[in-house]
Amino acid sequence: MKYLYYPGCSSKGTSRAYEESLLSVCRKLGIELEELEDWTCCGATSVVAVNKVLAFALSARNLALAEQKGKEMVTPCPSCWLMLTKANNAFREGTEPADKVREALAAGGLTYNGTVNVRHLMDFLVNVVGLEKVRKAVTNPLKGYRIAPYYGCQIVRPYAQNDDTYNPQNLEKIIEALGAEVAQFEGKTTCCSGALMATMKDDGVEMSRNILNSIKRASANIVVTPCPLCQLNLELAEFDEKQPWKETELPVLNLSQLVGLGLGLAPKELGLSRSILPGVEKKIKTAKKYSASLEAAEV
Amino acid sequence: MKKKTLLESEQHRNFLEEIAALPEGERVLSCLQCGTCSGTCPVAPLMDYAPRQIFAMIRAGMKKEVLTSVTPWMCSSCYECTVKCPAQIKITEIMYALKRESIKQGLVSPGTDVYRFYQHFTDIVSKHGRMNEMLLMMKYMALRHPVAMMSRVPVGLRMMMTGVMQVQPHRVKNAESFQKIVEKATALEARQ
Repeated sequence: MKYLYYPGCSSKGTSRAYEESLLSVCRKLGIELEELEDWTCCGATSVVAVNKVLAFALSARNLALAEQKGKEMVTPCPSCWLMLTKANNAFREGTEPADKVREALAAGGLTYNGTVNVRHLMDFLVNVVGLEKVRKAVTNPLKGYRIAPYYGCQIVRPYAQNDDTYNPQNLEKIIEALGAEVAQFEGKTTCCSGALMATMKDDGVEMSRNILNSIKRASANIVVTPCPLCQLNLELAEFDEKQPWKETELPVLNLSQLVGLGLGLAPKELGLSRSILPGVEKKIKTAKKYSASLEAAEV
Repeated sequence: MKKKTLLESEQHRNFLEEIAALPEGERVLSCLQCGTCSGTCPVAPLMDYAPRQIFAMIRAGMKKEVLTSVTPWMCSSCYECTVKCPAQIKITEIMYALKRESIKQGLVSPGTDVYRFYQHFTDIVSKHGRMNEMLLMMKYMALRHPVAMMSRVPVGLRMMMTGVMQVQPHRVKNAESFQKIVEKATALEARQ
């Protein structure tokens, strides 16, 4: 089956590596994706702060274009997923501002009937592709890694798609399917600061650093997140000029980069060199050696 | 709170009703003042009034104080308060509504310019269809925050090196239809 793919703006910019790894992983798993033609921004958390009708119209426009192509759409970005879901709910339930948005779409010659299902990549991997299929495709089990599942906020709030809002488990399931160990830490759904990293950097860095510190206390050696903005913000906090990058900083991977590692894909296919932190590829290798030596010492 | 006495002439008795009449505000009348929102909010320390206080101020008719507060602009949309509120108030949505209301009334807090970020974001998307991160940061920072912008040069250079910095803004294929949607949506928003 072919799935529509909605990349979201960050996939073409700061989060290019998310798109590269996502496409590589899907190719490897034999999943056919078709990028939604002429898609535009979902509005994220910014447009709705200025213009609500426009925010919903932007998302609904993408849904209307998708409806002409298929029924199932997948996106790697929790913020896009949330905005598209909110627009979808408004159309399906007939709640405000659906009528105005319908009018705006009509002005551009589009209609939307509420038939497109949008899934985030995490839910897609667990519940559509299936963990069994992922497990079978693993050629490079991530044994020896302790991986911290950092969800961020919007993937579990206010809606958690096939997961628990307070204690989500989908990332843990994926980590285990890849043969790695889960590093449980406090604050796996705590906000990374979102757009405040752009507008109030010192506060944003502090919020992201708190999360990283809690992850370090859990002795994790890799962080995985399903959100492009969380990945960027944690990396920016590690790269902050006031606290120069140190050897102890953790590699922060997006979901498909981690899955790709387990599937034995090459670093280039996963865009590992695009990380803000230099030398992430090397760090991943040393992390494994270090864990292996610890394990040997325990035995 | 800075002000101790709120004169009758300064009170907007129907402010609570105005907020309750918003599509997001249906449950605002059930606020218990329990403080769960303030307790869970990760950005409460950045606010002049924590969310619980905002709801108390709405009830007290302190329209101007609420709309000029920096509180809504600090909200990072993490929805922690929304899922935890025992009265099921859609707090995040109300924060969005307060942002829009303060823009409409020309009361945006002088204490923050986060508003400019959202406005530039909206303008770029309305014009080009997709976000261009570099353009947004330039527009937001170049004139108002030149020193802060300089401090971000190292990370900017790193992003150039790794090839994640998009230079050219996007072009929508069906630009005519897109622009009509934007215009219509903006007109409908203004009419509310």
